[in-house]
Amino acid sequence: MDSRRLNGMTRRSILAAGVAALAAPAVLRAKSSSTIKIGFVSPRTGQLSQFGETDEYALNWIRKFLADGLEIRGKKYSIEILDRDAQSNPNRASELAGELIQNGEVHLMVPASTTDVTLPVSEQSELYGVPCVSSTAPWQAVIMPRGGGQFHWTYHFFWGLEDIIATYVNIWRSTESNHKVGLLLPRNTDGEVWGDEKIGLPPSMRKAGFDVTAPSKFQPRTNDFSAQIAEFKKAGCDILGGLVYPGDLKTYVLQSAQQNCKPRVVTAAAGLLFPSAVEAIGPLGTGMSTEVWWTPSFPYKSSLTGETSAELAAKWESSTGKQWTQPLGYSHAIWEVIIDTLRRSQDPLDRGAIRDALKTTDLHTLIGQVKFGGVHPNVSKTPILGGQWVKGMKRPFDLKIVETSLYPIMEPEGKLQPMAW
Amino acid sequence: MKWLDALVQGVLLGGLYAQYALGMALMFGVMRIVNIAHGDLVILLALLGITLVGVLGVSPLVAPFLLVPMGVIIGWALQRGVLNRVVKADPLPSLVATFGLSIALQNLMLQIWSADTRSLSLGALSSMSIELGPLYVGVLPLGVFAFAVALTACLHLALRYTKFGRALRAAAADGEAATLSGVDAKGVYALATAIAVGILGAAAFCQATRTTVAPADGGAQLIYAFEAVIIGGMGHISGAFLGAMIVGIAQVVGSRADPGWGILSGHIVFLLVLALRPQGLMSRT
Repeated sequence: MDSRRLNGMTRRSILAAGVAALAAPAVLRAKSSSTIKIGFVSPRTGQLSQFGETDEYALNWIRKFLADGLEIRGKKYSIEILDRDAQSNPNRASELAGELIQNGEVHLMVPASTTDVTLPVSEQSELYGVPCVSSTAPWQAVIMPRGGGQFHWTYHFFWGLEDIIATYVNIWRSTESNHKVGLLLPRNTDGEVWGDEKIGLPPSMRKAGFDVTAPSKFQPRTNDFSAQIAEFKKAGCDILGGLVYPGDLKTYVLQSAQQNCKPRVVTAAAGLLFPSAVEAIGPLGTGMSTEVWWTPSFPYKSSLTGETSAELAAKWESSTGKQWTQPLGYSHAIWEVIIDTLRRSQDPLDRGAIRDALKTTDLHTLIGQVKFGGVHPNVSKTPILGGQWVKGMKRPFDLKIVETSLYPIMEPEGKLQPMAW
Repeated sequence: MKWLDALVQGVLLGGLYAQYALGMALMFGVMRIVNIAHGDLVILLALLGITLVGVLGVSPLVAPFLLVPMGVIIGWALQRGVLNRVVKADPLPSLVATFGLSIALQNLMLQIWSADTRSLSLGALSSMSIELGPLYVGVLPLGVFAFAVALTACLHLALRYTKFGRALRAAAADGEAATLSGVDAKGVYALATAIAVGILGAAAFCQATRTTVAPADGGAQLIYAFEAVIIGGMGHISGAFLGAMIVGIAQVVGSRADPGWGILSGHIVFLLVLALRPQGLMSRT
């Protein structure tokens, strides 16, 4: 849509109305002449609400930050953020995006986090020609289901499957073991991709000299893992790896301990993201390793506030009383990218101009550099490291970075320790 | 040896399913109520237990002694306040009521406890096991199984030999005739649901110690409880226990053939029973 024409219309309609205050719709349109509207869709409730939690926190902060408006090319704009709750439901996210674009007439769309929100909202944005920036989902999950080609409106920054797989192999290489790995993968899309013989974990692991034992995939919320445990025991696996959600991981490790199968290393994706999940696993959670994409010890600063990662985490902890979580860094960084894009755009009220600015983003944020292109024209890859949950200082568990060879952005905070069992 | 191990683990798993199935069988047998909110009540009790243990600072082992009485109260109030109004010959109103209750409970729990996963930790006890030759039998699953056996025996005996049991059976056979003979059918119903939800207090403890709980988890175990109840014969107490054993063993033995087949083979056995003996294994009709 050509918003300059819209502005012209607005001015004329105000003139026609004479007294603008009498006609409410005209007031609204008049406001839009210097108001940038941003649509913000996030999973605030439902199963993914742990992601929405940090999105909401960042939203409250940015609203205060932008209270006096934003100066762009010498002109002051007020910024209106239309935030919506996707309820952790992709269909709902898609509906909200359509509504925000067509009725809300947003200039920029932000599906904040998770595949279930970013994918449908990106699809809608591409369809209607609205610039869209998203994060916190492996980039393949947002690009590949839409055909994998180049897109004109939608941009995404996060790591990819190739990165997490390489990180896992690096974690396992960093410690002494018999190079025998047991893989525990769920029977769903994620599990199929991870276990794939072409792009998944097994080929990369074999290339790195590991033996792989991969029993067929388990149904999420399985109550008995004795078959898998028996196979891992028979193969003598020193390392257990996989993609396991917290409930299944706890069921598994308790039964594994009961069956006297105690691998030296347990590395799991997805299930160990949040401290609450590790606490739920209990004492056996100590020593488990996982992927890390942001922690308070990340060496970067916010381009908006100059805050360090540690300062951001401390603020969150003091205002919510809860331990920091990884999405916190990304919930902040996405606003860095948005504000930077608006500041650089030729006309922040024109969707095309915003898109042109977004496309040429080159910004050092709290989570690393965001610059689209490289692996895919619409993707900026961001760092992923390996971490281990250890007994905490103030909280039950702390996440320490133990593996940085894929993205050497910092020194590891320690070496991977074997599980204590 | 592989199959003996599978059998043992299957029986232990059956003990877990029995805890879900017994209360469901009781409610169905007495009132013809299919309680869709069964699983959500387990999660509610588990979350209450986790919170209480945290607040009171007591050992998690105390939790079942708190949860069973709480379950009894919740069950009694649920029957008196809601379900007694919808108990009729037509099973649909009660089905709709418990379905609504399930949705309401899930959202209420999400409001109170958020989507965080929680659990109770029994420390070293939870990973302890007894070594029997080449087999390892977990102490915790063994306890769960023993409890299920004791519970089934108690319920069975209580229904057969006590005055309450007779009243319950009378109310189950014909509520109106029982009322005419001086049985307070609504009171009996309330007690039956109180017992059923009380048992869920124990199930909630098991759920919270062996895995994790989050507000949306309620439905996941419901299907196995249903299957156990139907395999045993709708509303039959020792049938529900037998059904739970069959589902447990079928799942574990199936998963030894291939880990992907575990849950499927439980479903297949269920379908076979439904096809060959739809009234259930223990049913006399």
